[in-house]
Amino acid sequence: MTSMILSEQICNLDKVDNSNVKLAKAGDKTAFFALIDCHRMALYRVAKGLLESDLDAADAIQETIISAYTNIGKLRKDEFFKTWLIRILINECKKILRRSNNIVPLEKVNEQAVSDAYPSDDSTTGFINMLDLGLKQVTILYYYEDFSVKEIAIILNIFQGTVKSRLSRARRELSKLMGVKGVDKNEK
Amino acid sequence: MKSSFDGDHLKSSLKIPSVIPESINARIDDTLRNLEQKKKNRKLPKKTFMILVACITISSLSALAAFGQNLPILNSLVNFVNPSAAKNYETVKVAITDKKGKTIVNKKITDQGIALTVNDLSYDGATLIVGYNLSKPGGFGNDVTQIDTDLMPRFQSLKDGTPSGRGNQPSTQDSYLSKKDNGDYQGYASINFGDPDTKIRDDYTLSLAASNIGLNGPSGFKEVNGLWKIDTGLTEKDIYTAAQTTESNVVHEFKNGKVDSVKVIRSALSNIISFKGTDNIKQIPNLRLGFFILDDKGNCMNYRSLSMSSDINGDGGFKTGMSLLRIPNDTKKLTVIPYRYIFSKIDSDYEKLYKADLAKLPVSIKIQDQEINISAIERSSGKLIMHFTIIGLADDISYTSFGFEDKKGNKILPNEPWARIISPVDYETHQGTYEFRTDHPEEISKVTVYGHEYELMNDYKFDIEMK
Repeated sequence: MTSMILSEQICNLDKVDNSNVKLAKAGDKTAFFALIDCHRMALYRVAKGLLESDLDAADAIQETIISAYTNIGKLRKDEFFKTWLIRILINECKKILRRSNNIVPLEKVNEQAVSDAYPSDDSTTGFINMLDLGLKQVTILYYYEDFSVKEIAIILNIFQGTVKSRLSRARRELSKLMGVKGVDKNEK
Repeated sequence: MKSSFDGDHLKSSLKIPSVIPESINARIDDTLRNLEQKKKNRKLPKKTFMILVACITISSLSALAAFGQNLPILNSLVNFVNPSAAKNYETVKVAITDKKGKTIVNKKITDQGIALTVNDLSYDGATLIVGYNLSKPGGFGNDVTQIDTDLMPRFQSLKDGTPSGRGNQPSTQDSYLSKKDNGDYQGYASINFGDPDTKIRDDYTLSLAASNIGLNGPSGFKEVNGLWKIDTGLTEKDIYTAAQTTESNVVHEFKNGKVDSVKVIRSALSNIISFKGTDNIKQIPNLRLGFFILDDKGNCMNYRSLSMSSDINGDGGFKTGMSLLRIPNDTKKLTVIPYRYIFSKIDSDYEKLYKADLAKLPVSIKIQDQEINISAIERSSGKLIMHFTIIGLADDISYTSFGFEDKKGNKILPNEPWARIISPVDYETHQGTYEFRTDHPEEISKVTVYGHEYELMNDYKFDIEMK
């Protein structure tokens, strides 16, 4: 299997060259492996961000890889491979969240949550886990993986305006949460 | 655009993972190493959450037995056993056995000591049937009871070897291999491309390639990796036997959209309908468009979605492919009813959770014009098996996923990740079984299922004359 260092290099090349996607679509397993190697870190960051548990993240990533391998022939635009892959991952994460009955309903970051569920550490990451799923998704995609608003809109199948408003709201919520905890007064 | 949202302070305070834990890397590596096997194991789950170990279990083939002694039985443990497809395939096999529409190939390739022989091909533009066998000098041994492989078709240019876009994107694939007296495995692969909208080319030839062969037996599953590739030298046109195609370019408008063309493909290999059109309210992402297809007796024909594509950055164009139940020969017309529904299981309440009490059977769950009738349940150690039928307007009757609750409404949890085993609803009878493995089958009191209500566009329904 391709080493991580090498795969990072290949990954950079692939930003301008989608040949691996083309090859993978044509059934080339090696090309598919290289693509996954390229996006290991992105897969992990997003899954970890949404699911918290490494075990759940591993499950989601595994299902994502298999689904991508099974369906890559249906990917219409090669340059959208990463957004397509992350979209699959988010769907897998949602399935796991749903199965574990762990979904915080939209619009429900409330005072109760603030008082009952403080992160044990002072990191912002801990507070992100307190956000509802909709806000958490955009926050992780935007800040962890540097996706653009447009890309997030494509991944989540929502309007760009919705992405913006969710990001804005996420920052407000985080500011509020951290302010209560006294972690980041500037963010207030 | 992005700058307006930069929260540098926020970002700097995030503990963004920069190292992938070894356990995650190990899982990814393992997944990649065993991709083919995991892909097969997942086929069932993917379609509905489920699993497969079962298929094998398939309480054994009792359901399959009902389909006849001569089923090219089937499938391996690692391959999704699709009784309905198998049943349909029996018809296919009979239809092509008379050699009409069958092109003899008889080409063989050997790797890793295993020979793959492609015997014959049948193709109607939407479905490709490959007759093939796998053999090994001295046989595969008594330790192997089932064999499976993924034969991937590729249509490539005679001129420069480049693949044709469509030929390499099968939508669904089922395979049927059975052991012969001489120890070889012989059978068929049925590959559907979903989108029947294709030009039959005479400048692209078909090659078939497999990169692994799965061997299953009492001692477990093994995979032999290699490369078995056969260039048939035959073009699409060489192997093509036209299906009966009904095509119409009459525009059918519906609320906020239109269908520009309708194609119905009927052959021994296919019963497919596809639409091309435009959806003018594409900007509402979760508002989905669908079509119910009814025969002239009012029976809903939707069986399984084969493909659906829409251009999210374009003009709202869409294209669908649907597998239908078998269309009776005396059918004069099909009626199409467009509908819309909101699809979002997580972020809204539009997809509802329906429940039924299992205390008294039979019981039914009504989801608008669809009815799921649960006729019986079997409880035994570690599992519950539910028998049901689906009738009425359903957009995809082949698979349905259920959940279970106790008397107090608490979810009954599965006892393993792959604890749901679904047999697809039968092609003809609409009967299905659902197996759920749990440590507490005796506590199961209610069954749940998610469903969406829809807006039926009865005022915009239209007919398709069958020729």
